[in-house]
Amino acid sequence: MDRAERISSVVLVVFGVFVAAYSRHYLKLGLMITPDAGFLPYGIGIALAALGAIWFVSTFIGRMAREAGGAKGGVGEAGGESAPDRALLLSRMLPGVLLIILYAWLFERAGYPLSTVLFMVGWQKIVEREGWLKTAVIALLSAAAMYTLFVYLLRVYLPTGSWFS
Amino acid sequence: MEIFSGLINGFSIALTPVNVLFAFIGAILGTAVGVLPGLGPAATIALLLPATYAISSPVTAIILMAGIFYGSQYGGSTTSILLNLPGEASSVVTCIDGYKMAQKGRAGAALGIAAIGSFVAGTIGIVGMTLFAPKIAGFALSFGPPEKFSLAMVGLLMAVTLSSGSVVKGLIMMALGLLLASVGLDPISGKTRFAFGVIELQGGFDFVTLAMGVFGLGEIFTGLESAAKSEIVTTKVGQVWPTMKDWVASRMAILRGTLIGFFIGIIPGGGAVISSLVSYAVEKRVSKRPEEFGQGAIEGVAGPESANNAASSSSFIPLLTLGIPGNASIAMIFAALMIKGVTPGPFLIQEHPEVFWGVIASMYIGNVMLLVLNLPLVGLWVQLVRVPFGILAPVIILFTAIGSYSIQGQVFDIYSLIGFGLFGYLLRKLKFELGPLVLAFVLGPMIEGSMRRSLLISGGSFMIFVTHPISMALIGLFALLVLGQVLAMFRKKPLLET
Repeated sequence: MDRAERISSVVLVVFGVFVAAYSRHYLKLGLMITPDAGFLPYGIGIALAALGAIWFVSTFIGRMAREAGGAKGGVGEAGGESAPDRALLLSRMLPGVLLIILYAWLFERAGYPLSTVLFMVGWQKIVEREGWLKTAVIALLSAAAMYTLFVYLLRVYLPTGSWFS
Repeated sequence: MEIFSGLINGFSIALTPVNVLFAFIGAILGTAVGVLPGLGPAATIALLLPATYAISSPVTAIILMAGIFYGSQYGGSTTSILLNLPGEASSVVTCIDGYKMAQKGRAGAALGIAAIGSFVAGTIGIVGMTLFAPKIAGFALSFGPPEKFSLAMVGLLMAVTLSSGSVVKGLIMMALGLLLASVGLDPISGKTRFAFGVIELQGGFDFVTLAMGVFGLGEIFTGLESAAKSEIVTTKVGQVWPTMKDWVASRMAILRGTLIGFFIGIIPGGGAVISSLVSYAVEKRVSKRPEEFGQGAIEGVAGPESANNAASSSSFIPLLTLGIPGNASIAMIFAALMIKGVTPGPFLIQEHPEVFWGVIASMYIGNVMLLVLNLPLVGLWVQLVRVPFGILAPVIILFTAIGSYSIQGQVFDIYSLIGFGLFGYLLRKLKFELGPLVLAFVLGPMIEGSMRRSLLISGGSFMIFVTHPISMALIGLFALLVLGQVLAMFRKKPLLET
């Protein structure tokens, strides 16, 4: 956890410096009486960089405090704890995220009905590893329920698919 | 008299069949999300934000959202008592004595006192809001740009310092929220900020997409990491009406919890979680039998459950009177009001009295509905925990994706949603609180606008924020709070929790 926090805090410092530099050079700060578009983002950039630096230092203070107190949960142990998470990350989280990205890509191209059924089938088979019958029932029912809710009740336009038009 | 006539008008609006129906739907949904661990009221309201486009009346939309918010406080206690599984963060403390009572065969008494305490506290909270809100709104009418800036900043900073996590992480969230709010066209200079040539970013990020991504999708991604299946432990509920002995033991706890919750709920960042913790600590301290706390003391259920419900009612006060949302759920309601073209703040009571009084009146009705819904239907609510994550998760994903697409009819919003979902997941893994992020995003335009106007008025001097009396008082109040916090931290724990 300490390692992840340290990397994140460094990324935050770099990001804060980038925001401040971009605001100063491209958006401009303006005058104190009439601040320009970059005035507030510049301040935010500086604040993010400073807070990132404090966060970075605090990870060391936290570790020293834990070691001084003799508490368990060092870097090694945290890494050990996250091992099962990593397995789930690869088997469930990663395919899940890829399926949503694929769904977004297909949404206007294949249209709502086809993309939604494909997404639900993909989810039940790849992420949940369900049987075909259960997958088919869940996919068709949820796609139909969402269509009814958005199109008939909320009167939202849903794409029919550019591939078919 | 003005309050009375306003309330009568509010009831005439809230009692129309459509509004009663939406208050009922809100109460049911709120109880359901309160029961279900993981999906909180902020996420649920975020998921329902696209639906507000289809609801023509702003009063009806806000009645629905408010019902979800205060309903979730009721529902949270059920699984805490029966399953030792808090549906909401504010119900965690209820597990301590509530579950012990259930193990001793007194689940019914615990559920009964939690529901009655919630009803009493919620109703007293709304009465307080009815009496105080118009006065606060009247006072806030005199606020100029410096006061508005100080109010929004102090509100945000209080939300950060009072939140349960690290102060530094809270400040990072606040800064990131302000930065995200600044993306798009600058309303004063007309320059485009941080769009990097992406046309869809010129209008800035949409709050609905941000909220649904960070809260809704982020929670689903986090849930994907834990494959554990919840098991239902069958606990006999028994008689839900408390005995006379229970009443005597609980009545003062309910009253104290109500007062604590009401005042903590008004403070931005205070809210239901802190008030339930404070109430538990107070009850244990004033009790003649403190050793019974943790072993099934009914005051340990009555006090915190009353406190979190009173807080959920009173947290509407800063929103409706000052335009300052005090927590993430209220920020969603703020966004829903903005979507409907209603600006929350001191002018709300004058410009949209039907919204102001209609929402307050609906809360009286909603509280009665919740009491009726919660006591006899306890068994039904517990069954909700059986809904498999494998079905719930993809359905929520579809809901968020279609919801974000429906806002502007562009796929870019679905990609933004996925990006915010991953961002929310990462923030959860790094133990960041999400509240300050959405609060800052909502208040960002107001903070920047009022700061730039203040500097124009003062000729470029930041001293304007300390020379205006109200602004100075707000800053002074915040400085006192921080001083108190720092002193308490030096005594008990370090400033940074990593």
